[in-house]
Amino acid sequence: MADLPIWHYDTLFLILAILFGISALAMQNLMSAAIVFGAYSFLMCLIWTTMGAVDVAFTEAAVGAGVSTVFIVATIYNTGVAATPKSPRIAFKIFAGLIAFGTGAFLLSALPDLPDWGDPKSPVNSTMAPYYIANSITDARVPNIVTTVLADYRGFDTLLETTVVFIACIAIYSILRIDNAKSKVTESDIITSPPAYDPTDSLIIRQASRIMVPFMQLFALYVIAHGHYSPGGGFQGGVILGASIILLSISFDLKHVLQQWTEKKIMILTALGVLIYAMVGLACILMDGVYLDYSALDSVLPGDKAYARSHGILLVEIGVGITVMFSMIGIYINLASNGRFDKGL
Amino acid sequence: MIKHLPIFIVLAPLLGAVLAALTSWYRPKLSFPIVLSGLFISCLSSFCLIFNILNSESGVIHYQLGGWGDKGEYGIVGIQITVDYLNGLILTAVTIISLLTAIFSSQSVNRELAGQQRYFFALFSLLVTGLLGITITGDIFNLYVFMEIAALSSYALIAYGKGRSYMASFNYLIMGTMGACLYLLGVGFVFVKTGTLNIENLSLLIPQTLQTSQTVFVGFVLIIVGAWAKMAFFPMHGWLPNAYTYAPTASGALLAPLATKVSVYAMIRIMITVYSIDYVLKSPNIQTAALLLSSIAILVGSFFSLTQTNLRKIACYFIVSEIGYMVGGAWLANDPGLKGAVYHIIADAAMTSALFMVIGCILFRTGQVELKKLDGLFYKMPITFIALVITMAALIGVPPTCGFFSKFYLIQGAAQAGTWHFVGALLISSLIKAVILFRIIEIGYNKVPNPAKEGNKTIPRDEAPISMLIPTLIVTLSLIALGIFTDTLITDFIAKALPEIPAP
Repeated sequence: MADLPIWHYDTLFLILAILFGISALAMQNLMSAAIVFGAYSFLMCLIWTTMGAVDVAFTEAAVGAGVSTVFIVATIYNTGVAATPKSPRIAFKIFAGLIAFGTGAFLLSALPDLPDWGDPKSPVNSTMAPYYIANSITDARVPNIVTTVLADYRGFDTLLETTVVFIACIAIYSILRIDNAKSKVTESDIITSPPAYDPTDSLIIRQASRIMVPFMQLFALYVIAHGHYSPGGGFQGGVILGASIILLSISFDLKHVLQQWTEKKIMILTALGVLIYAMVGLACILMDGVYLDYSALDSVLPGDKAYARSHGILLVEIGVGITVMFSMIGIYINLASNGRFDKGL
Repeated sequence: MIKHLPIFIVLAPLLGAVLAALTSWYRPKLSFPIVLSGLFISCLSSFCLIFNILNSESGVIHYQLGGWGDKGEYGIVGIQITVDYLNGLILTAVTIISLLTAIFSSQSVNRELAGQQRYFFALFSLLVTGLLGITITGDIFNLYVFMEIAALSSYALIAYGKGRSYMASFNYLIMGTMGACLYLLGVGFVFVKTGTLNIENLSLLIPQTLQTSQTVFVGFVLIIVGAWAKMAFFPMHGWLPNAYTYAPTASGALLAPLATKVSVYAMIRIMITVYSIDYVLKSPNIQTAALLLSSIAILVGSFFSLTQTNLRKIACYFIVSEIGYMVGGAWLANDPGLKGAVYHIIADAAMTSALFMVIGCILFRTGQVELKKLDGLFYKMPITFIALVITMAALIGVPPTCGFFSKFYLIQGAAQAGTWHFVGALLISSLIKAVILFRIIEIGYNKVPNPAKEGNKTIPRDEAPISMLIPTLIVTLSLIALGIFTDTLITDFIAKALPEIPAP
């Protein structure tokens, strides 16, 4: 342990993670708990970084510390800040404690048997990983191995994960959406110009986010397009794109956003991303390959078979980006407007 | 195109769902036919596939996604779909039942969820995708992702019921997430010692070189307990009765027969393929505990069904006890026990499907399924009532229905293993189901004087619409057909699906 140069950081992160975890659970004010939970996510993001899992850290930062905190805040806004816990009986507490400690002890019983941290001879590092490291560049011309594993070697998992995001969006839509004629956005409700000065609104926030949004969107496009070479890809880029729109709807007004992105547009684009991904796979079958074998697309995409894989990865990442972006927006609008699609936070 | 059959089974309902979600914004009426055709293609593919397996020499069909197959010393680097006798059979059952349930659902969805059914059939089809994926995949992480798809769509399908279904769905969400977390943690423990996620590679590694590894053992327990939470095995069954009772008719009719059974399949697959029967037999403590819990599950499910007054809740507690049958049969870990467990997955899927369809028909016409308000049901809906009696007979285990044969194998297995409490639980559960059947007959047939006779009050006939009645009848008759063809099913499929099991 001591010969690892960064073990101090690990200890610090571990202590802080436990501290944040416990305080998020103990807080009675749900809004504060949500903020602490966001900090906890950010800490996890640091831990992934020290482990070298930069892509995971990026996702955690965008999803865990970013939009999911916004979702929780939007939910609390529509439900209530104060938690009113029923104090359980002492017998129940002891029972729950026993189960928790029993499970923990059982998990720890495997500790002596686990391979060392970063051991190059451990099964994980010596079975499939050497293949990925040696062949990612020749198979798909993609230097970022994580992207190749994600979108090509295990591309089917990613198609399904995208479907999971899509399901989350339509599930929340199905549960929350209220088709209330009164609360429908009518033409007169839509504010065509930025709203007039409102003493409860902050001009600084509004102007600052107005400047930030284009840069955020540009960065998100870079993250999607540059995922082949650096950490990033459809998931992270899509979340950032979604977050830029969410920022607009928080700092301005939900009506202002809904005027550009109507409910219909958002929900159709959510499904469209999954369709793009699935259709790229189906095109591979029609071009005599197996499902998701992008190299079969080499006659329509530029370059040889390996480059076809690289371009195929880009195509599906775009699909992922579209679905994730509009799912995030769709989920946010449903939560913030309580399923009414009229006004939000 | 023949070689792509395995992927079409999963892809057809997935694409159907996405297309249905898209068209629902332009032509809402088209959603249902699109989903139906997706399910139909899936059903057709699974039939072709099972014939291919019967005709092939090895009895196994692989499909490597993205073309990433076996790379020698590195193992299989991509995701592989594997279909053999075991999951081929279950895939066929799942596709048939989901297709019939879709046809069954269209009327009840239009009535119960009028005005808000935009994404209902998309979610319906996505749930089927998830269940088929869990069954078809040959990769333990891919299985987890499919589990998520099935779980998320089922939370939404249950919450469509409004009112009390929200809380029921939330409880299910908590338990389901716990189960999925335990499963994923278990996969992590297995992965760290083996470096592979492919079931075929794992089945070569674990039984031979990692028999004594504590990490792999912890992974085993976590995966099994995770699967138990997903299938509502005692004592983690609390979410099921409310969730399936308050869900809309269509969601209940799809979830009840399939969701729990597919989790049982996943457990059996992990037990016999990833870990092997030897490994199971070498952890006797867990085996004893699992068998004991199965017996308790059977008894608890049966006794609670006796105390309920709502037919749908009774059916839900039946599921809890039937899960005990299958888990117990699998953990007997001998030849008749496992045969009984696998046979019971098929039989119970058909029985539960028939039961929930019958309940759906009654709900459609009368608006409630309180037991004491079913008086005169025989005269009002004779066909539905006879279907209900046949289904109950199958659940009790009256020959020649399929319920008799699965019980026959399970009791044989329990006797061979000397697990007499399991035999006792099976018999008591049959007895209790018989009590409930007679209660239903008494209320539905005897309580009201025969309206055909002079002077008695007439009861107008009011059967469920034909689109609901035909699927119900097909499934009900299949209970008898399954029973008659038990021998073919056992020798041609299930016996070949199971590995060599050492005689005691």
